[in-house]
Amino acid sequence: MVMANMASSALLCWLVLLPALFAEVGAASTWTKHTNNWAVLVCTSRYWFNYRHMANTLSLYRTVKRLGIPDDHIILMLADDVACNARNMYPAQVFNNENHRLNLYGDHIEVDYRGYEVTVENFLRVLTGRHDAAVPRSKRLLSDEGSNVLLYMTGHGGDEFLKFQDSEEIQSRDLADAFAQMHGKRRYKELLVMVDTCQAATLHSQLYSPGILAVGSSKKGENSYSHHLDADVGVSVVDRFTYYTLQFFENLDIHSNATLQSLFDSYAPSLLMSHMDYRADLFSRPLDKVLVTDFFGSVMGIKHTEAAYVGFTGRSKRSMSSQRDSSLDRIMDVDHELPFEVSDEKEKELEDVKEFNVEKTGPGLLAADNDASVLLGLLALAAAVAISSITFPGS
Amino acid sequence: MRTPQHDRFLFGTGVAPTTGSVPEQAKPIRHVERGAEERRGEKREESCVGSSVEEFAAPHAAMADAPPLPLPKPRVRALRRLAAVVLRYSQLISIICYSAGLITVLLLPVLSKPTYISENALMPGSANSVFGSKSAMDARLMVEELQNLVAESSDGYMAVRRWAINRMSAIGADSYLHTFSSPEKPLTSMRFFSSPQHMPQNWNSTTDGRLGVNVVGIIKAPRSEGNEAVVLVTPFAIEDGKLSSADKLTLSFGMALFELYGSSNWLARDVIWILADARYGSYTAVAAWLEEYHEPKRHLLSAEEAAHLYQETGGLSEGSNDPSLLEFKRAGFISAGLVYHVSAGNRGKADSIKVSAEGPNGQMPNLDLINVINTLAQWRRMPIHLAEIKGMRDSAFLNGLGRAIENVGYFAGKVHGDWGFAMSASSYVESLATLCASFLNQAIGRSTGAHGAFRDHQIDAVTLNMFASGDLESSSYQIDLFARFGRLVEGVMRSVNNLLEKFHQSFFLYLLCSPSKFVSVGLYMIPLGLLLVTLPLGAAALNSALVKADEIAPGSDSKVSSLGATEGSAPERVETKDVEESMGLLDIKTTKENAGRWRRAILVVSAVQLWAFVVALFPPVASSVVDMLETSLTSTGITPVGGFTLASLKMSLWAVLAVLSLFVVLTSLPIAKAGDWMAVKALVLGIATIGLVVMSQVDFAVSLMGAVVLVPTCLCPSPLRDMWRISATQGQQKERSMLSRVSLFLGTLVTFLGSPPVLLAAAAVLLGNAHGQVSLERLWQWTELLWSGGSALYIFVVAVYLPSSYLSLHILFS
Repeated sequence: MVMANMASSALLCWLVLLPALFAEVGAASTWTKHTNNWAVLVCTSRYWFNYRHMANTLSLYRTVKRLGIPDDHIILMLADDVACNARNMYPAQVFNNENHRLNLYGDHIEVDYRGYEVTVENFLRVLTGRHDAAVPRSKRLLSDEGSNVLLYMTGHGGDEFLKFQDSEEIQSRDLADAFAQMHGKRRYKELLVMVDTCQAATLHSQLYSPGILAVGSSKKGENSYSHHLDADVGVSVVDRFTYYTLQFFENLDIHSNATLQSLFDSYAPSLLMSHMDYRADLFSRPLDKVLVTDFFGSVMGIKHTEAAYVGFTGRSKRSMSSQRDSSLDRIMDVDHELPFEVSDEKEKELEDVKEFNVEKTGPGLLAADNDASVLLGLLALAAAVAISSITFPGS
Repeated sequence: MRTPQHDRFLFGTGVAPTTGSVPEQAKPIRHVERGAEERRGEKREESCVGSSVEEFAAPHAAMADAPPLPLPKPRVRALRRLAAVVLRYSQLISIICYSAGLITVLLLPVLSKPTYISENALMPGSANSVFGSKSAMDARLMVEELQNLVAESSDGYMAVRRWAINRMSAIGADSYLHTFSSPEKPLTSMRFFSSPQHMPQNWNSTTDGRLGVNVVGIIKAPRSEGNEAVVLVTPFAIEDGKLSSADKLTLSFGMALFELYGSSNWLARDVIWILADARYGSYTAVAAWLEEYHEPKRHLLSAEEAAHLYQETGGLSEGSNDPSLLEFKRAGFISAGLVYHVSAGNRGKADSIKVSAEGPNGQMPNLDLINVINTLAQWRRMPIHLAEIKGMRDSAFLNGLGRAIENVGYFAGKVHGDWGFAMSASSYVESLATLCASFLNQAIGRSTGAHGAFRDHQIDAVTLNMFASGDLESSSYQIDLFARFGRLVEGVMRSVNNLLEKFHQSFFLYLLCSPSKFVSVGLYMIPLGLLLVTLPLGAAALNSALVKADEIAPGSDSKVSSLGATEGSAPERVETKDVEESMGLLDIKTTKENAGRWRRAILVVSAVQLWAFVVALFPPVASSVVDMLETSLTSTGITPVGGFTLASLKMSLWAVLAVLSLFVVLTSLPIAKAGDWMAVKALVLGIATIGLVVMSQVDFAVSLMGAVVLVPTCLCPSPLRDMWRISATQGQQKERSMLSRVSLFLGTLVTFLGSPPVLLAAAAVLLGNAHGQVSLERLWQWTELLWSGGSALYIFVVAVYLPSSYLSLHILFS
């Protein structure tokens, strides 16, 4: 009897999960693939002699755009005072190489925060999404719990801080707290923080939120250097770390299988003149399984839905699927546990996250009930109309 | 630390009166034990205790553990004791500080640091030079063109102006003529610190052909806001209708650069080029232009005057009647200035560049400007140097010193790796020669070139004097020269163009040992501090000696003076003197005596100081009187007395006036009593300190030089009378008196050495007067120079040095 009970409950369980498995069969192979990509590219310096920082940022901007992240998913913060600087002998052009083959400042540059708008406050607002109501959507980071976010920053920094335009600075702790808030508000699924500045690695020393992978161009006590000087323009045009990052990406396309591990391996200290440092303890996936296009491109999981439009049930469907996701995760975790070697702590954290997810789907389930009651009401209304028209014909 | 228990204890048992009486009894014993210096403080303490105010008595009792039957231990006041020790050995400390100050001055070349560029934005040498061989060829062609034009024309200035304006308008630059009159004669006005007025008050003065005309061209930066500008200045002068070949090169070179800027699209600042008419010196021309630029005068030209000026400037082939040619045009705020000219240098030696930077009263441009020039020159492998005092390199003494320092550095390095320094004897002497030149130029307070005019408006500027060693007429050499100098000047301008703000990152207060080594303000204030600390110390020592003398024997002059003679040893001798005497009625007498002495001293010192201020104002008076006399004499046909030039007459008149007024001052003074000199000396020391400190804010070099001279002059003197007295009376303490006699003699000697006539002679020798005598004419010329430059040295010499050194002599003979 007991046995039968257990068997029946197991069967029930299986029956419930079966359709979900069929629905997610495509995504199952890459684990819970992110559903969208965002990039926040920040150049924190201004003035002519910091030309290279703007060129760095614009180069990254060009790369992520080329790999498919659309302009409305890129928040570009740029002092933007070099292209039209009186000192620029190539007006309205910015180069990141002295061969001048590539004008980074072409036709399609969308700078979201420009000049004096690049402040620590605005930057933190973008990350945490706490904007004034008047801020247009194009200037907001509208990411969700399925987003992979790339945060690239360049400028002048030091031990645990990064200068913002000679007037203020952000500290590593501020950054960590902002990420924690993002995490709390489900503004990212995974976050890649890439910083090209002196002592960049110190910036990620305080991070504590899960899902963050941080890369810095130099260790504590090291400087990050510029790559070369363009004697025509009269300034250095690109930094070493960014230069070699770009070199790595230059031959990649959206279908590339290059992983973050191969990107990190490509940084040679002799070329960088500093030691690239990354921090992956908060990140759950092994780096050699993470494609660079997960962050630098727009290669995301696609969810198939049965119909183009499912009326009122659309919302419930999605919440149902997310519920399924999380339950699926539990199953999939078993598969992945061995290769991932996730520590107990982290697993616990991840569990918490999932529980959180389930909780969040609560209102969604309620919403399904609401739909039913509306349907019931409509039916009742129709019945009432029918009855009344039958009982009082021709009145 | 009054606790309730203590209070109860005191009031309850009635111990308070006892605490008051016990020290009274113990007093004589304690005075034998302790130094005389502390007695005064002790006395005050005891009077407090004895005054039966229990409030005061309580803490004492609290300190002397529980029942105060034994002697209450006096509080040891560390600061007071330290002060007493310092005052007792003040002479020794003064000597140590003074010599330490002098040694530090000599060590400045060793302590100097290498220069570094502070401003990130400058980026010298990061851009390719645009001034290439083509520009150099252009410049060479212009040399010929200019030469022909000047040779053909009857008026060289006119030819140059026409050439410049034609070429400037050809590249689309704004151009105009700026006219200025000759600088007003020195000492014609009482204005000293206000800037001199160069603009002609009356345009009719143009008729005498004494009008200077600057040609000015402005290139507007094509894509900038046009609110900032950089000024280039090339001075030129025409003598005997000819343009010297160096000036010819300067102008052609300037034009080639200007045309280059006209075609470049990376300018962030407007470029203003001034062809400064240097007939009254380049400084005057540039100062006049800058003044007009910043403080426009309201002078509307009448038609007649305009016509006259057209005539003056006219004959320009194009736009000769263009009224805009005389319209003063401006660009933005001037952020930097660069004066450059080619000079014929030593044949055979390498071409080199001399950088002059000293502005009025020792103001320097920001060090970054010099750093940029130095960096670029080193990068382009061009020798660069600063002014240095000729002959110092050959000085045997300095070379010996250099060798000694070299050895010290070597051995210090052996002892401990970090202590060593590598400074060869030759580089030490070279650094010192450069440092001294820089120092001297700062002290004289007149700018060393046209860049000084910029400094008056808080603009950073330097003069680059390019010494061309080759044949200036050889065309191949010209091309070579232009290419090399052109790249340097263009590089400097490019760096300045990169600048985002005014120069502000680097030092403004510094001395240069070489173009790449500097002594910053933090370092060079140390010797000044060491020198200056001796003065207040001496004053304090004198004061305490006076106070002691009053305590010992109020009203006894002989004792005061004998005490003064052996200031340092006074305390020991009077140790056992009974102090009961100095209390009570006698005390009041003493204070009266003391107050009277100080009153007399203050009167003497302030009278002499006042006299010095009046003397400082005499030169314009003397000048105008002599000028008036001269005009009236020449009108009546009487020639001036033979042998006397106007200048020497003025100088002697000034001296006579000064001496006369001194007599007037002296007769009005109260009769001094013996012993007054110590108060006078203390006041002189105080006033000299104030004067030197104030001067260090205006012009550091003046202050340091002044301190070197004034400190011994003011510290050493004591009345000559005392010297005889000691030798006559002193039987005991032979050794001490011998020592004091020697020191007195030395002091007298030093005071005489520091007196005005001796110093004047020394200055005359130093400044290259071969005969070693000071002609009145020369003195007057110096005065005029200092006055017209608004030099702080003049103020220092007349208002600080003169009264102090006079009063020192006064003390000597009192």
